Amino acid sequence: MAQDDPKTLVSTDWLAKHLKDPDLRILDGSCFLPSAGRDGRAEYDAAHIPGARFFDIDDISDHRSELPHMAPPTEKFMSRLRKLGVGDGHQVVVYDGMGLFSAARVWWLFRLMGQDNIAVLDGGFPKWQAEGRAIEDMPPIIRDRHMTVRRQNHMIKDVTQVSAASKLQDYEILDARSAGRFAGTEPEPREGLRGGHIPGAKNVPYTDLLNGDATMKSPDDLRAVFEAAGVDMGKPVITSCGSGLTATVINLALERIGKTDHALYDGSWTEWGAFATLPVATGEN
Amino acid sequence: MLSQLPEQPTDKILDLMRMYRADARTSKIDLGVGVYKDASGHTPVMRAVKAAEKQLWEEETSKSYVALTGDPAFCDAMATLVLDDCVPRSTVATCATPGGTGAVRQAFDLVLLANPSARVFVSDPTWPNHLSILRHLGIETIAYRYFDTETGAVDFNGMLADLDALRPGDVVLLHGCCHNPTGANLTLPEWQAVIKVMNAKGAIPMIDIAYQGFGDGLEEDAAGTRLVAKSCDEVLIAASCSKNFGIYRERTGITMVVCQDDAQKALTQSNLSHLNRQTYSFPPDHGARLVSMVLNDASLRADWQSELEDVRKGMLSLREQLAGELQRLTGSDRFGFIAQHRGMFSRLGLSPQVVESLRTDHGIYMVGDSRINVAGLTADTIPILAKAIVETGG
Repeated sequence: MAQDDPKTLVSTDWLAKHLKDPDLRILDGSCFLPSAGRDGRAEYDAAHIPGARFFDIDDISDHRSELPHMAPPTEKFMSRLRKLGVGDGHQVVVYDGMGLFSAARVWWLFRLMGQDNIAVLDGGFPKWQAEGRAIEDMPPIIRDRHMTVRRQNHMIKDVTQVSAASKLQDYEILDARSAGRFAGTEPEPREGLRGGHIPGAKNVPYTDLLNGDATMKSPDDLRAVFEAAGVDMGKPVITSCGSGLTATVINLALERIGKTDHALYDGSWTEWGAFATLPVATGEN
Repeated sequence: MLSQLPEQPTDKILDLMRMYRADARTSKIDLGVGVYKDASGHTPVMRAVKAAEKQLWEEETSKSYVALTGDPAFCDAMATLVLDDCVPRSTVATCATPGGTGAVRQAFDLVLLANPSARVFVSDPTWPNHLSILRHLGIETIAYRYFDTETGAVDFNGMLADLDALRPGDVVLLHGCCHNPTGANLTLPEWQAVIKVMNAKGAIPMIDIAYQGFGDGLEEDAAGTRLVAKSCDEVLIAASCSKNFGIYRERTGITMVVCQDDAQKALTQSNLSHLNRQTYSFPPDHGARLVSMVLNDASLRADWQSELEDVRKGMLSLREQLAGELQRLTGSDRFGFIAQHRGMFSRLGLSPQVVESLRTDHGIYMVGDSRINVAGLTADTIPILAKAIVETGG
């Protein structure tokens, strides 16, 4: 059983014990790939952990960008969180309907906005349900709350910064997509994208960081995964994936083992793969 | 005896109309009363309605009574327009009424017959006549938070928190679309959440839908009402034909009650007949007949829908122009909600002092709570209004 840490990951036991804490706020951060054919909002409406509010990753994003669910402007994040009744002094727990998939992105977004008191629920809603714990379908009663936000710009990288890192090799670029998509042998789910990866990137499929029940592996096992992928833990890390969802599972895993100098390439392959002028590498790690 | 009568408060909107008429300035702008006006400031008779009237004048051979609850063809056509086939027609009790106001009155009278201790939860704010009718009937009202004046959007958290006080048998009054006076409306997921709360609390929804076709389209505007109709056991609905058919003075409306089964429907229907009988016997027929003629004739209906679409899109365009002009002048998105609002009205969130100054200094007439009738604007008056709002420090 993983150790409970309210700044990274907590177990279903921990959440059940703290469910009635007055300063606890629970978020359902479910967001699925179009191919999954699932609707996060509808699943939340049908069943959620008591008191949970729905954090809509697609809505709480930058709608001026053509890329999917990019990090929102600070004031939009603040106003949406105000309406969710999440503010200063709250301990937040976020989960999703896959186990561990998009919840890590909500964790990362809070970190980006300077809010550290947030943990991902280990094993997510599937584990909570499998254990026969309380669920409900009623919307919670919410009181607006203020959140003070200080954006941590070192946690996010744009395409020019990643392009420089790719050339200079002064960061480890870790790609969370499957081995096939990384190698360019498996087609991209989004049309019009080239196959392959950012030159110099190393492949750490996010599923390698999880156990069979979608809980996160132990810190020792996580270290072994990064070692096996040939990651130089002395360098800062930039994570990447298809659209900036599962890459954050790597960010969470790194934080979990005490490595704090990690950032996300928010545009990820949806952006890099579409830029004809950017170089592409193919083949395995 | 007559000297014993109480003083009645005057209707603020009708007062405003009087003041507007008495204003000598040619530049004056009327954004007060809730009547649709075209670009020339005229409230036209819709083409299909005029054609139906002509046909009716030629073909109608009798002015004898119809039925206590109105012409069945009208009731069927309106049930289909509002509810489509979301519930079986056999479970919907209906009665034609004099306008939407009559429909609201009959629906609340029915509540009183069934449950004299029912309380009615109303949005804050709501159409003032809702409150007036409920007060007249002696029904207790409880306001639920609805509008966030800072953002111009629905205060949904506040609404749910206040609906938590519902008791079994209470009635929740909801606006089907185009909320009057704010213009801010529930999204479908929000409708769903409200339905859950009402069902969990054993409360009865009552929907007033007076502007179907003025917001996002005929079908879209009915989506919330249909969701409630198929998700709740008992639903009261008051619908008006005044705006979407432009037949204000004909007084055409309908009360519909979605019942659990045929037996309950028969009981409800007999009560609606009774209510009509003892208030005015037979409801007005002329407007109702025009509506059923338009809805049941393919070419009249097509023409009506296309004219209604023009009206709707015209108001949307006015909204976008006003929001755009205010954005340009203020350099902020503070008034962006005007473009998000739907229907004939928007509440601008201006203080009473600003509203008064707009009237006295600029000849711009809006209701005291800063509700404007968007249809009262034109491409020429939008820049004048926007400039005046900025100048008065709105």
